[in-house]
Amino acid sequence: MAREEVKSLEVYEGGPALTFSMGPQHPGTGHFRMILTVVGDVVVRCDPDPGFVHRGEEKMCEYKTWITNIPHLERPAILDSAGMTYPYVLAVERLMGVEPPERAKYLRVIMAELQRICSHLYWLGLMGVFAGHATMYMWCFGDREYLVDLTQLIGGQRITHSYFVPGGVRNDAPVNVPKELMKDFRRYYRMMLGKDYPGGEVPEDFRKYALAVCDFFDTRLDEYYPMLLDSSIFIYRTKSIGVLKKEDAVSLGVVGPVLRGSGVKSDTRIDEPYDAYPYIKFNVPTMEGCDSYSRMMVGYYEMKESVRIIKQAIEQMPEGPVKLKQHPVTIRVPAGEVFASAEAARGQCSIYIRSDGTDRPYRVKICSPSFRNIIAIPHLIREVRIADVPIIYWSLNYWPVECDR
Amino acid sequence: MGIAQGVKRTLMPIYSGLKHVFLKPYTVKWPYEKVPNLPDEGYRFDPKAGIGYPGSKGRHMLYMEKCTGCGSCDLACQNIAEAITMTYGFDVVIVMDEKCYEHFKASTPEIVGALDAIVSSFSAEPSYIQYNSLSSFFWTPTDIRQVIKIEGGYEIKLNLEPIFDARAVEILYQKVYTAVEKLRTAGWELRKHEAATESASVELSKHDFTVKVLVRKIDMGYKQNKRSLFPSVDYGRCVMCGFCVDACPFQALEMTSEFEISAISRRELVYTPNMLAKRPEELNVTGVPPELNVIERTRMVFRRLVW
Repeated sequence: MAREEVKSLEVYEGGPALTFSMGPQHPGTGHFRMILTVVGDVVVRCDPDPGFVHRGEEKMCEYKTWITNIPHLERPAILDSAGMTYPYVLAVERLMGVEPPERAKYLRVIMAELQRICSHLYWLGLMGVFAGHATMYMWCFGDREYLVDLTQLIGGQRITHSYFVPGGVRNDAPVNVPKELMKDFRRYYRMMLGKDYPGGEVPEDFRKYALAVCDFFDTRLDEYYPMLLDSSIFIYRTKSIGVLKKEDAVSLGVVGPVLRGSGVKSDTRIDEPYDAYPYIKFNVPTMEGCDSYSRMMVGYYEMKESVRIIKQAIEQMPEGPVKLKQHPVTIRVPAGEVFASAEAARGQCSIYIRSDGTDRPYRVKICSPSFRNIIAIPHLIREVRIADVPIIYWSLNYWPVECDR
Repeated sequence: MGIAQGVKRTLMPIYSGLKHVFLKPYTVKWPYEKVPNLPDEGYRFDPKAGIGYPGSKGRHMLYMEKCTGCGSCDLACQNIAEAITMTYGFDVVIVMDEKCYEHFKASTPEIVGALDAIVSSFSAEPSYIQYNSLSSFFWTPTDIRQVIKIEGGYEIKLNLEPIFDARAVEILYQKVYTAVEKLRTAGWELRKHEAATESASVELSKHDFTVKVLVRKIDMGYKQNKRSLFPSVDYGRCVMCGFCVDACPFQALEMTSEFEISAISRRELVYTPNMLAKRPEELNVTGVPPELNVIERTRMVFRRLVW
């Protein structure tokens, strides 16, 4: 980039302007740099500079086989690894012309929604830190622990579980929950809500335990509202900051909570339903405020909806096999091309695959939600104060690794 | 209305925060206290049903009596992390003939110097590390005064437990070649050099003494695994995805719930088949740190009892 000279003074219309870098050491999410030009306290221009964490995921896909692509495909967004591998798995299934068993569909939905909540909690917690509210950070990470534990009970890992495979999921949900975890949840319940768990004993059955965690988290979400989202500090920091108008949002092509925060009701789970989503009732929350506060509120309501989805999925989940009969590591995929998209935590994640009938893809193109949302950064960070830059940046839930792939 | 709302928005956060002031803290003092939220079982895979069993994906567990050394896990990992390498166990021995042994007993400086150089280079940090090489970091030295009589000579075994590596010659390169270079400057002549996968040797001679360093494969004595080929896992590379467990057709590889795999150096993260064959509690790499004193231990126990 030609604008390497940091802190060079130049005369800007209206006064002397200073150009400097924000980043690349963690402006919040990962290695990413914004080159800001300021006049006094006002940012007149923002030039995002992604690419510090480029890993060549797309090229890597061409060297790895169909199944062994899965562990590295979840690395761009480890908080939301289900959302990143979902479109890949759907695409490969469409190429193979197979349909996963019913139970696998529900398990996938549960996993994807758990990861969406975990990702959104991270977003909410860090947003709290950036708005000067450290309590929110602690609360979000404390509550996230029990949802991550659910993920680990199902998938075996806290975040990067490699759980989805073409043709189903790798293992069934467990029958029972470890005793230590039940005890620990009871202790945490008492600590957080100030009363004992109703009925005394936390259920040992996995389904009931998952429902108990969902109920608990729903109660906690109600406490988040007065603590952060309805507090005057947060409202003053975020209301009418970083306004992305409806028509701008559509023409820029942003996705996910950013688009829904601008009042456009668009969600891949509703528009092109996949797996078990057609059988589940849920709303797509939108906000008309178009500012940072609306985007944050969309994230908050989405967590509530995700809890609803998980509860329904756990109740409706049928018994049966969870995976098609196939070789665990080597699968055959016929030649052809396919496009699939799924709703990841940060928005629509799409994958285009071209296969030439060999044991590995010919080309994989990943269109990640952060890649779609980065275009809003120079649009929004303009004519704002420097102190508002982190708030706007975080309200977009931008994840550099996911963008750079 | 505006004022009332403002007051509410200012006081409510304080109120919801204050509620928590009077509640007991929650912090788990890891590693003194264990994190309880782990399933005890590790991830397993049933090759007949073609489906996995839920469980933690932590460190591997190798059942050596089931492993046939087919290398399916290695193949599965090659496209993911390249963490698994199929390895043989090796012994490193110094072989001397009768005449050399007589001089060794009589402390002839050439022979004693040569043996000293070989043993010290063997026990030193390797001077040369092949990229992605897997020579065991841990090895237990034997009492080198223990000389074993073999046919037509004597041998001194240098290691107590087997050294695992994919190729025998790698051990020579890493552990013995410093001595070979040193001895060649001291007038020893490199006579023979064998560099094969399953055995490797160097033969050095000076005047009419001949000393041989031999790396030879250990037969582990498993019926189903005639070649004694077992996987080693480099946890500096492993991503714990568990596809190696899926790939194993004999259920020889499983995962355990152990996740606290830490080391001072990168080479310590290479787990040999012998280490993988032990359960986490047997290997004793985790657990309450020994530096914790009695009072702290008691406090931890007390804290658990109270809540």
